[in-house]
Amino acid sequence: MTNIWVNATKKSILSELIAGAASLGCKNCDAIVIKDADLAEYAASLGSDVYLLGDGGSMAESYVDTIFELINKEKPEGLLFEASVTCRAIAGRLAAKIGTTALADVKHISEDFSTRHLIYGGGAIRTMKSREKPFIAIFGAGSFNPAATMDNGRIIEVPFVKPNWEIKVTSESNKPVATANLKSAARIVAVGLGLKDAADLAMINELAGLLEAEVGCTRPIAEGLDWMGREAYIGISGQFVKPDLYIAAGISGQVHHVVGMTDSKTVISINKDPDCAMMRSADYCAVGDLYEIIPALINKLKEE
Amino acid sequence: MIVVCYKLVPDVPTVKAAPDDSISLKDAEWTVGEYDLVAAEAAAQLAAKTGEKIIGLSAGSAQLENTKLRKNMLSRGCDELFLVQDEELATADSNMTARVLAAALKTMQDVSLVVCGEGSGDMYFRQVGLQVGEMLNVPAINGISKIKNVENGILYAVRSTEGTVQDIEIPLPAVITITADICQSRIPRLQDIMKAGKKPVETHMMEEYGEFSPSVITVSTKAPETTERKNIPFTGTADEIANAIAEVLVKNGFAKGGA
Repeated sequence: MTNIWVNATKKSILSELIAGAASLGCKNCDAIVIKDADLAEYAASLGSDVYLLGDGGSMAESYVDTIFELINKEKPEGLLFEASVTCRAIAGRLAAKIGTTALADVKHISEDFSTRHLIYGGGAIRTMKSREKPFIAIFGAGSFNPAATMDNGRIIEVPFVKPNWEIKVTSESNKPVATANLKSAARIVAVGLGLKDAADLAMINELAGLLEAEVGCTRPIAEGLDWMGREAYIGISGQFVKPDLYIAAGISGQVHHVVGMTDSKTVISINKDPDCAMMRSADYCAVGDLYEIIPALINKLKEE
Repeated sequence: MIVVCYKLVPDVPTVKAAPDDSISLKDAEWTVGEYDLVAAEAAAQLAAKTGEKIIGLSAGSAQLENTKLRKNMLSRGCDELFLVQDEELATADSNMTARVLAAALKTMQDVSLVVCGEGSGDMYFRQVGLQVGEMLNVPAINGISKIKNVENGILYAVRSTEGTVQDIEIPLPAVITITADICQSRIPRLQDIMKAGKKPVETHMMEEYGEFSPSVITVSTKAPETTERKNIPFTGTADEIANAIAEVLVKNGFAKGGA
């Protein structure tokens, strides 16, 4: 039977990847869990056999050699990873050892393990397949439905294999929890460079409040101007969102951005420029100054 | 010596889809990946402290011969360029690109640190730097959001993951990939651009380093499906437009209906 392994740091994504492996013909896939006994129990409750990698490494990335030894012993067909900084690091280094390319940010995987990806900032979609085994593929949240609870899998403890070198973590702190949860937001108001000042976000926040929407932005607002956190950035190297309502305020609609919001249901663009790219990606194209239209819209919504 | 890896990529708006959905790079304009410019700046800021030389390393197609693109890197802190050329490199996969870069790096002396951007401007797989480090059997780590200093062969840095910020110590030599927001890439001054033309550029062909073949089969490259949109224009005074938007919001259940 097809043997596929999964690795994730978050329970929700681990569950999705287990379901993803099942959709590829691997009913009881094996999960690689690094040090986290609680996560191992969880994976086992979803029917996976779990390789629980024991203490010893300074960070999850220290376990690449441990995982590679397991791969050589057990010879899985493929490995599915969560799209996180940590899993990306592990996937990339394993791919180098295997002699393949980690297929990153997979939009779709077929039964023959060919994968589809957005490239050129979303301007093209490429289908690729690894020449080597195991293949490695990386998936973002929402790629598969969560797995159902099944009979408990086994937990197999695997000792840490000491690598040639190790990066030391001297301190670690949690980032403040992001207030916006754009990925699951049903409504989003997003701003771009049409916004002239960080203070004007108050107006955007007020509109979002009235619509019970989250606030997102384009890349320059989050990186460069730093008016919003990086987690608020929607686009190819940021968040992919699929709300029911997307209001793009002062967004010109570069392909890098549009690719992140193209799955939105109803799109309203507010922009001075009737010919900007965002208008082509909008259902309703409000042509005018956002500094006039948004306050008027806020008043209107307050009346109602 | 610090090495900055960079990639020449087609400028996204100039990548065109043909009516049959195929993608053509024929008329594409080429540029240095924007994340790579950030990497160059991060390297330049570190080199200013350590006094090391910076080499810009790229594996790519004949676009590498473009003088303007060479100056793009040489005017941003690179002292020299080291270029490996082959037409296949324009669309090579992460593993093949990394193998070529690693082969070139093996011929260089005294490399203390290799700095890569967050991801390439075209594929954005965020993999090449990690693979290069692994191939050279040196530490390789991603998500570096701050480079603090180098002391006794250790790079002190801050790493940023989705949920955490880590202070880390990386034994050198090493390969790091930085976050896009680690710093802003600089706008070169006129004198930097003038000087750039005089800096040394070492060029090689890929075949000098052996044979390289792709690690993946590329099945197809096509235009993405686009979502059909209504494109209904709202014009008039701000009030008229606001009313029209409010009507849409009410009709679709996003706002409560009023008077």
